[in-house]
Amino acid sequence: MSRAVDLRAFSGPLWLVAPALLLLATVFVGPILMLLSRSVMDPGFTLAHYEQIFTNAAYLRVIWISFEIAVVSTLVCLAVGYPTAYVLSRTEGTLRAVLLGLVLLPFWTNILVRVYAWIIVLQTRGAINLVLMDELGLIAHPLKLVFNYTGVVIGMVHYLLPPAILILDAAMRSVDQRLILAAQSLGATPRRAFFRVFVPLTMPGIQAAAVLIFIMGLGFFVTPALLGGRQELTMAMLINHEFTELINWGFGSALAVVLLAITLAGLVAYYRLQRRAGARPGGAHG
Amino acid sequence: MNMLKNAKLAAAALAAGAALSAVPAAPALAQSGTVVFAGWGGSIQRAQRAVFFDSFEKETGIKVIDVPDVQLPKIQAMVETGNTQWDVVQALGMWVPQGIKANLWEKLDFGVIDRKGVPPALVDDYSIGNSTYGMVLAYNTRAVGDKPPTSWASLWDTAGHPGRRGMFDGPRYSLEAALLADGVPPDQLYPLDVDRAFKSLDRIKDDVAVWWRQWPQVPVLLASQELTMSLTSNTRITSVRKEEGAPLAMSWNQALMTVDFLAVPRNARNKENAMKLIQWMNDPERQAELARMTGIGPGNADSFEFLSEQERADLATYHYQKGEMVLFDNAWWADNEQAMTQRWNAWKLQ
Repeated sequence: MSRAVDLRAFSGPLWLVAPALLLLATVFVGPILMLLSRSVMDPGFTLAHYEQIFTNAAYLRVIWISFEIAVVSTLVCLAVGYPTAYVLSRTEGTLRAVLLGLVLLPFWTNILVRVYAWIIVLQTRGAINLVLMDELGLIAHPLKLVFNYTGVVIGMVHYLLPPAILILDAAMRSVDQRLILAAQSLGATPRRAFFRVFVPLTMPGIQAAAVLIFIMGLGFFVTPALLGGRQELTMAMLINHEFTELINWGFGSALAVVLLAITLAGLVAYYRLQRRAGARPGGAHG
Repeated sequence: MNMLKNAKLAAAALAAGAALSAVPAAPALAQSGTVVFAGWGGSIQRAQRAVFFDSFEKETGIKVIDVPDVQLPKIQAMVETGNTQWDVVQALGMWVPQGIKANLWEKLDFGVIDRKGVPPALVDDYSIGNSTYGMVLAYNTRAVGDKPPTSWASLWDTAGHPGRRGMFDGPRYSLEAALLADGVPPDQLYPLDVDRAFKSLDRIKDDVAVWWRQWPQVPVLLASQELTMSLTSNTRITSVRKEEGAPLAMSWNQALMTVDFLAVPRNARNKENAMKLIQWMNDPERQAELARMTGIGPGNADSFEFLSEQERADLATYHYQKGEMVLFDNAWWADNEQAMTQRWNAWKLQ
């Protein structure tokens, strides 16, 4: 699991990467620079758009909501995904193929189909409420599961679980099982061996999954738009609206730049964390 | 992404069209060429293809390339980059004044286009009204029992008309409904008294079960009784009622009429053909046929000659002419939408 490419070890001609760099520059770096310039030129240089974002309580609230929803979805994904990935990583052959298929099936389903399916399951007279109320008689009034915060988190976790599970599964399968056996032979209970040896060894996978899911979660707009309520307004929804309906490209660009900055901050934090883990004796992978 | 896809599609379509016109045309098709129409896509555009485009191609030999996902920002991007790929666009009412301000439209040629049957309020130098919709109060007939809602005031009256309510999560239409519910006379609705509208909205803020953002959601939510009543567009309710037999109905009283216009983006490549296509789509008999298929009202009022009384009753144009409806003010919204959206977002997060 080497994470950094050592350029000194690469003796081939460097121009081979030129096409890739050119592509990145034109379809990625260029548009981002255009976005940046749109956000501060209107038509002359101005920071008015940013001022509006950071002085208006509503926009600060939207930034906070986006951040909070992404964090909560990430935590739920890890809590649900870790045990699932553990079971998956312990299986082989047909069973593994079937389990993997079950994980990937929603991954390949169109997001709109999934969201509408969730509405049917979660709504007032949806499958869950009908079973709990009419079949089991456990509740007297229907639970409010959709068109609110709960609905958004359920929808997002459903979308983000497959990548989380795949990353965790890969990390778990790369753990040398003899280390757990060794811990147990030295007197550790299975529980202790799991928490003191296995979990720390999968920590890079947990971190990678958390960062990826958090970043993906920051950019959601279909799920909160359809499963959320009045309060679940995310930055991505706002950006989409500014660009496609209000034609307020300058302000939309400023919002997009802020979202990009938050994303990059998350990435920087991740690499810091990785480097610190890498510097610890025994934590390095060469 | 979408824009790229459409640009590619249009480019491919244009190339195909060019290849076709390179073939020596039969004498009957002397006036060959193409015209690119950008509309909403989906079932509406399929109906437009069946009613307008196929017959236009047959009659004139001009090939119609129809592409989906028309949006004002895309038109603006095309015009600004000097690469106008669309010749006729279906424009949301608000886009007309917004586009005039940004100099995005060509003037229409009223030597080719006959504006006679189109109400003066629906036509100007740059655009002509082509289809009408009603923002109505729709409800599930089973859920409301023997007390159906009759106006926006019913939506606000949670005691007299119990049940779960739905509202559009945006200031458009919502502010109008709030003012009409608060007793503002329809003829004094514009310019909107914004403070009064938000005060009126405060009264139902916590009673609204679903603040929806996607139009296709509403008939589903009403049919499943997740909602008892909601503001929505009449065409969707009519089609779900007809196709699925869902127990849905609507009140036209104080409903808002919105209009889609046809316009030609500046520097369109096939301007002459664009005018001919607009006139073809302005034909009252063809508009009547489209109305029968989709529930979309005609822009040309002469269309009523071709429709039965029962067919007319499903159309916004008809209820507007009966004086039940209020015409949505595109000019006011073109000037105020940004400020209203900001205020709406701040209001709803409170």
